[in-house]
Amino acid sequence: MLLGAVVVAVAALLFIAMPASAAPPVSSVADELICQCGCGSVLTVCPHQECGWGIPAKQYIGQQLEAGRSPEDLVQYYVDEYGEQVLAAPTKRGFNMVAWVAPFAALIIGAVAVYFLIGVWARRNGSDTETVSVRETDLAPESLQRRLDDELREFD
Amino acid sequence: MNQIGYSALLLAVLTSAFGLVAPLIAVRTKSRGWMKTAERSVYGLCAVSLVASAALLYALVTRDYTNEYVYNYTSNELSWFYTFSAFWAGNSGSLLLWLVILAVFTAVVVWQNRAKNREILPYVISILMSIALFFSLMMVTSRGSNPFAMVPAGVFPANGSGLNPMLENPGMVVHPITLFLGYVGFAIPYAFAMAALITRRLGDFWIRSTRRWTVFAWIFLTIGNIVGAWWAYVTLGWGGYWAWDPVENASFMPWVTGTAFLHSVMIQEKKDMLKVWNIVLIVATFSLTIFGTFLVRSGVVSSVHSFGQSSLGFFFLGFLGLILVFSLNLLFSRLDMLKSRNELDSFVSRESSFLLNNLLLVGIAMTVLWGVLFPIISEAVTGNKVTVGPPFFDQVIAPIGLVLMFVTGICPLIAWRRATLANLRKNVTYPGLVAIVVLVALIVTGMRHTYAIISFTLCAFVVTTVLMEFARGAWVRREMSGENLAKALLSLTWRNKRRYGGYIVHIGVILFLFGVTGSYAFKQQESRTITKGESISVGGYEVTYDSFDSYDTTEKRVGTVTFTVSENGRFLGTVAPRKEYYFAKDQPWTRIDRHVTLERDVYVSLLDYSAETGEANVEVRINPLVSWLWIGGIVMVIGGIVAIWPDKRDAQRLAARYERQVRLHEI
Repeated sequence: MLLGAVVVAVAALLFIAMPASAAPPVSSVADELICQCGCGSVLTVCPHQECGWGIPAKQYIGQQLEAGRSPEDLVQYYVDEYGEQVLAAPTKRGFNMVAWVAPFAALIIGAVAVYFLIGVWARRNGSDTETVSVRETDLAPESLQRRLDDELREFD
Repeated sequence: MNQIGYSALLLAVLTSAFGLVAPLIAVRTKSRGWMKTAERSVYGLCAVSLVASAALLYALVTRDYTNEYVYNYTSNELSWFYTFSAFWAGNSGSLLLWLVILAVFTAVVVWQNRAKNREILPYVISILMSIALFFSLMMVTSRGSNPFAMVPAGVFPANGSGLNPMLENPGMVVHPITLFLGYVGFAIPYAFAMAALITRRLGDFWIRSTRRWTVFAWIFLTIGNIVGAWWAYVTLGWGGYWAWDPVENASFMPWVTGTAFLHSVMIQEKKDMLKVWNIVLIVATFSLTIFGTFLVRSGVVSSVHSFGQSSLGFFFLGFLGLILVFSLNLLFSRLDMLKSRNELDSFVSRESSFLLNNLLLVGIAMTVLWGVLFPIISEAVTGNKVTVGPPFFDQVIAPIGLVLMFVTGICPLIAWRRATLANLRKNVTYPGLVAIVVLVALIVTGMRHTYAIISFTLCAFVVTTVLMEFARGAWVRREMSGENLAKALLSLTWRNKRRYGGYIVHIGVILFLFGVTGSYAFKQQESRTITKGESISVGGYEVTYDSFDSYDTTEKRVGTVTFTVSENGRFLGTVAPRKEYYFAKDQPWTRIDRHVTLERDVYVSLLDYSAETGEANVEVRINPLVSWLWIGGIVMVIGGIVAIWPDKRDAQRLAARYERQVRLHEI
């Protein structure tokens, strides 16, 4: 009940509106684009300190953001100019959805498989354990002590 | 000296080829003589590769510019410190580094196993020497990979073209060599795993024999990745430390699968389970180290880390294919013998949490691999070129990472074999309460970044569970031995180095993630052109232009601006970022400067300046909690060292176990 109340309170607080901020930083657009100088890096990270494409691009982005243009608009501008390859991540459309969905799908399938396997292994050991526990009551205390000693020796 | 070096490489080819074949002859003929010769060939390879390395070092130190490698990566103005690191600055030097590390490691393995593992050692030697043969062949057959290639005849350069300015950083002395120590380190458990499969000696002895090698390799991969991130942060000037660059990913993936392997082998040791899975993990880990080496040399992907495009990439791809075909073929042929008891007592058990841990770690590694390969897949299927960069990795890996953090916290609270839910609820109470208090405090103080809130809450949860483990154990020890609490804590850790070393690593990981969360979620930046006396304000900090200076050295022209850093009017310190121009390379470079505290870095870049007007184009970033990344990395390494510190009782236990298994013909 306490945990439930905390979750509700957290959810409510998270939805309180944040105050409006100043012009978005250049990185809000530069982080979404690949530098077209050939370095293959995100625009923010281009290692070329005199990059002929990256520096003018960042200046242009800064000016446009100051002028009130939205980051989404600017990203679309570069996509229109250079194609989808200018984006730092695949879009969430068409075949590109496979990129986004596959890791989570694989993890869910893996989790289901692990759950199933643990169930099988636990049931297998459960049926063996029943037989063993009947037998174990017949075991002399010395063999139990020996088993305990072995386990303690291996304990880490 | 270049001739000596090249001759040593030729001898390395011959020695490693001999070392590949001799142990197999020894097995076939059951000849101790051939086995002794095989072992000597390992020491021989070690000697000749050290000679080749010494020859290259000599050429570097004496500035022998008739050696093409020396010409390309050094100059008369280069300091001795960076002259040393020029050894691995280029493709061919780094190949030689791989070879010499592998040769030394193989020699150590042979010496370590002079009285044990005699049945599998021939195959271990053969496999390691085959890897050495590949690397030495690369260097003698490809001019671009020969560290002793000469400049055209009749040319005697008076000076070299110098080291890439981005490599003139202490991090670049440490990063490549530690990464290679990690990569090559994983070849040892791989070789033992394959030898165990070949000889059908499929108990856990190969795991126990190579556990320290595995942790050793993991420690150095950790150092390599962390130092690489630190280098990127202080050198590349963009204010970040990880860009999910394909080559960064290539060193991250084996670290992740290696971490999964380290956890998963505990299950095999305790429960004799997951034998196939452990083999798959070590094959994957070693293959990923070769994959990383391939990526840097193939030109398949562009990266700031690349050595550039060369035909070598295809040889590495071929070698990788050979490793996978050989390993998987061997594994499938022994599947019947690898059947485990496969018994788990309960869903709610530490074993189950380890399985979940493995699923998540391998999930992360495969996601990264998927991201690296998807552009190629997409182009093949649709004809469209796409890029998979940081937004993809951040969005996909962050939630998986948060679940992994939770599992890291919950796992120590669950008993081996079987834990009841009531017991688990009891164990979770205190860490859960701490987490809730932290969660409420974060929200009440105004934090609204969802991932950051969850991450910080989980950090509190995990740290509490780990500290509780230490406290509980120390308290019991104090009661039993009468020692004071501090001594009890030290004795507890020292007597159970593997377990508590692992817990220290977990604390290091959480400190690291604490830093990642702060620096990702709350960074701020501002850039402007300012003149003397003017300021840039970011996030409550003010960076004020004090003075400008410009001077020349023999190597470069330097322009530097000194700034005062203050917070709400209170003076904190000064920073002096520089803009440098390297004469030999005809290349500019920006050197950032920072004001560092545990709470944040004030990170200042001098993007450009005008000596005439004194104007400076400056970028200021506030990177919260970034220092905790480096602290977390150090703690991880300390934990790893504690975990593998020699332990007499452990060695006695291993020797007794080996004896028992030999007696029972299990090995």
